[in-house]
Amino acid sequence: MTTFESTVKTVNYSDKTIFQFLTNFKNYENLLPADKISHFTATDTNLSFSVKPLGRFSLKIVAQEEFKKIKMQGEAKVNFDLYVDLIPFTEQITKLKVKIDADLNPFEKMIAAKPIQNLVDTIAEKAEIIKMA
Amino acid sequence: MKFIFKDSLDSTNNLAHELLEIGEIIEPTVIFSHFQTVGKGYANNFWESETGKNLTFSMVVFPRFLESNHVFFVSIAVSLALADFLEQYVDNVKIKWPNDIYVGNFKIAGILIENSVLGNFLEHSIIGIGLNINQVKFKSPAPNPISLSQLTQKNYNLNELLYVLVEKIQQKIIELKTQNFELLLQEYCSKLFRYNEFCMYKSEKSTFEAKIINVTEYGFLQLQKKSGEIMKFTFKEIEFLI
Repeated sequence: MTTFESTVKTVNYSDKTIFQFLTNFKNYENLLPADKISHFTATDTNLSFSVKPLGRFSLKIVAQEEFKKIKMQGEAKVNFDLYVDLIPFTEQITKLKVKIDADLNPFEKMIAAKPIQNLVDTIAEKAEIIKMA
Repeated sequence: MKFIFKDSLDSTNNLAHELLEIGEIIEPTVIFSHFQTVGKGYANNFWESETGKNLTFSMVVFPRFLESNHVFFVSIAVSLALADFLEQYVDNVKIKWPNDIYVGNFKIAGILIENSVLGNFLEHSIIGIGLNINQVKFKSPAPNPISLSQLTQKNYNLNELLYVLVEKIQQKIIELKTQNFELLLQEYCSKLFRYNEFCMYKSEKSTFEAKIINVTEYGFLQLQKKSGEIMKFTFKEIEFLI
């Protein structure tokens, strides 16, 4: 198992606001690396998009702990889990981290490590700057 | 301020050049196009798929009061006006030396300024701006794009934004008349992307870690290495590694 983590970001919203924003897949088009993804589709239960050069990603939420944790299961050429962790800092400020656990063989790791790291970094960095409410 | 609206043209900066040459532009003028097929400053022609989503325009101004050795202040004025404009909507707006505007680590706008000098003074400046507004899908190879709409989850009326932005730029250009260059430079430095942060840079010779400590009045970027060594670069001599 290979883990890709973003650094911890400080977001100027309550854990509840962020949680609600991040459990709505329609908001992810604005969170993903815009220059690396295409064919974005989002429904209430499913998120899918193509990432250069990794192909199609499909995600669904499989577990959530209200205002604290979102776990998504992803299907691509390899299977992976994407986590968002939220920790309240003050009432209106929350710490956020994005993580992907993926089963990669050494060859896949060579190709996928950089784009996957970029994916978690971008989601976290954009969550830090976009307006959620 | 005169406005020229075009549905499509190869580059608003090119049209500005042509109109200046034949004497059709003699006062401050804005040329706005819904999309540019060969938008200057952008290396591709993918704008077509997102017609009318962004602000792409050129503005011709005549800062004839400005001595030519202060030419970099046109760029400072435009960068500050753009930053000021964006700060009405979002936080974390930064000026990436020499000619991009970022929000966080993402590029929202590019600036291309072409100046013409007559004697010791500027004659005119053609200010080309591409600002991502309503676009959410990006096919361009420009790295890390973001739009205002992505940041705020709202859609905007381009014409309204255009008038406000043009007004702000004009104000800042007029402010240059006060010759208060030190203050402008300070304000500019305070908004620099990665100011005073150690990051990786690439010069012609090597890749190295340094921090931005200053931009000089002639537009040179001053970097300092951890060893204390100070280096100076002009446009194109140095690249940010993001």
